[in-house]
Amino acid sequence: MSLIIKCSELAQLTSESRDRALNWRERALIRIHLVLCPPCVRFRRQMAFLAGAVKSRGAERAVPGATLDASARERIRRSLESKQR
Amino acid sequence: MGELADAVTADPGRWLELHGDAMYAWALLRVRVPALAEDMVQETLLAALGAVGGFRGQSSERTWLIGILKHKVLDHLRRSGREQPLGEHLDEDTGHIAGWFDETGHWSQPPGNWAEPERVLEQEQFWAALSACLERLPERLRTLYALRELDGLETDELMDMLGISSRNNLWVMLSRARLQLRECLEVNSFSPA
Repeated sequence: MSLIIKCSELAQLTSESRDRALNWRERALIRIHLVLCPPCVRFRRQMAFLAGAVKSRGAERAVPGATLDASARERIRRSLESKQR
Repeated sequence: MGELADAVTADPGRWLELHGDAMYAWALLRVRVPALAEDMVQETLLAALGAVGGFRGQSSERTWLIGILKHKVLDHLRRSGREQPLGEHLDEDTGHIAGWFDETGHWSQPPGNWAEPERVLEQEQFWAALSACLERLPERLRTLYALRELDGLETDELMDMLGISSRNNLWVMLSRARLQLRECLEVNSFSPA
């Protein structure tokens, strides 16, 4: 049983650690790999940064600058009015 | 029922005026198709009109409306996921995977050094790049990524909602979305000028 995983495997486990709890073996494999691999250390830092950044903009969880066009707005307005009557 | 309800029933167009665009942009990130996002806004406002009594003013009007919208969008995704699963064309993406790692599993382009990422958070440029990179994800990956990272849905909910057959496939798809985002940001926001 090898204690060495590839960078591609480290990347997958790093991602999965956000979706499920890794087991002790997986965590150990990550730690061993990181000792030997500066690029993967940077990768993990970047992934943590990215997750934090995406989370921090709660109010803007939308397509930026997307707006209803005039005809859709008009259609919705009419449906609201007819419901009110 | 009080003044608020009266005011709202008297002028429902005000919601559309004040919150229509925000609701539309929120829905569009999750359903992708403009006409569908428009329908979601309409359904939400109609539902809100019938449920004004449920709004107690504890949250902002917009938060309340987005809450209703979220139900509508998730319902829709659940229904369409059953009829037409999101698809797990994992093989389609192998081009990408091959691009990230060489045959031995090493980075073909090792991740660079992102200088002062904390400071970058204050720059509009960074957020524009992040949005553009999200836009560039393939549709199914973007929906999945948004529901997971923005809305915090769990693995089982996502599998059910999007018709994905195994946890492993789901996790691989999420990993592709994240790696693609990372790469896009590195190129567009952190590359040495």
